[in-house]
Amino acid sequence: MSSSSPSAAVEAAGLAKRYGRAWALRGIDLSIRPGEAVALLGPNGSGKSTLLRILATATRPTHGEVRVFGFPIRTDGDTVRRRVGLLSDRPPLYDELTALENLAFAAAMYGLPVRDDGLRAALATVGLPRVADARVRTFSQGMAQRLALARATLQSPDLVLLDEPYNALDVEGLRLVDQLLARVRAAGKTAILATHHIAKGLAQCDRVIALSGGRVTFDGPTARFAASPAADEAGAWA
Amino acid sequence: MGVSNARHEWRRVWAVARKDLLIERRAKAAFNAMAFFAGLVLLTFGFALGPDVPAGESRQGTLLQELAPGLLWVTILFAGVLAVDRSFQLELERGGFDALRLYPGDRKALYVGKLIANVTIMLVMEILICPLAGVLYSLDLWPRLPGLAGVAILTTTGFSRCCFP
Repeated sequence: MSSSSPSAAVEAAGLAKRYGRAWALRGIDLSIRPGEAVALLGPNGSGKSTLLRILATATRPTHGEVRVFGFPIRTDGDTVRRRVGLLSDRPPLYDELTALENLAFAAAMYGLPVRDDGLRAALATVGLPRVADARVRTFSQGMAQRLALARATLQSPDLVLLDEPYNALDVEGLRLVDQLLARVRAAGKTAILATHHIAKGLAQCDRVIALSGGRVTFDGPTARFAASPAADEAGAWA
Repeated sequence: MGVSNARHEWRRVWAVARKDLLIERRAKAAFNAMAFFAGLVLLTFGFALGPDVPAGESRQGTLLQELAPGLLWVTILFAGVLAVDRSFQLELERGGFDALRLYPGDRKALYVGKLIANVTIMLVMEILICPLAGVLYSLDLWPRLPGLAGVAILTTTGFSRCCFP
């Protein structure tokens, strides 16, 4: 990866990450085209969240190089952050603020206009229009997850990183995530969906990257995943 | 830095400060801890040193009045540590520090926003603590009020500045 390749939304070469003595990622090479929807599958501890956190610039890799839309995350982190939205496994919401205030804070931090009607519309897309003025501490886990989803996509990111977005959601919530992914794809944006929900991942994405022990065990079209050895392994942890 | 960029950064500063102050106004987590601690320390010193023990030779008043400025500042600064701790805890609870770091823009805005919120919370606490010290230690604070206010603002800002390196 000697030069910037704007044709790729994500490019990683020799990507490795170590926490203390444990390696979370052990030399990942991948390239994701703009507009692709990728399901990142793997058991707990396989490195899915770490990979997403590195792409979002929340964590620095121990080794390797990563470019997002051609920008190296080590030197152009701020540019990358403007184009990436991350829904992490721990939604960063403030319990004492209302849903609207949480979104208003995120909008101000992104430099977006803080307009009440715009923020309420964002809440409506995740099915929370009636609790806009309720404090987050009164929310169920699923409602908080929906709000986190609205927050992660507030700035219309070009690369949407979703870490277990189906967690704690009811049927309506699952449908909302699917709709959001459909909108992201329709807009020609890139999405990476890390999930244990294999059926959802396969249904919503056109490519699968399977991780195990910090290594890629499968990388290919969704249609070929079922026949791969990685699918047998997935049967054990799913 | 252009005017537009500077305006954007100040908007971020205000967003962080407003968010912290709003949360503190509702939860009162830092303020309650600080007020309880400060009140307890001032009372304990009052009982420990006694209200009638005379000051040292060639001094007028009581020992408590002689030591009051030092006792007051020790109380305020230790209570301030609680406010700073709460400010960090607020962001640690739900991975907020990660989220703050993922917002694009100058990270100085986060620092200045947190600083403003912390100084404000501490100054409000001082406005309550100083009269309490005046009553407990029989101090006449009115003549010293302008100087005390100036020193309080400078000390609190300096203290908070050191706590958010």
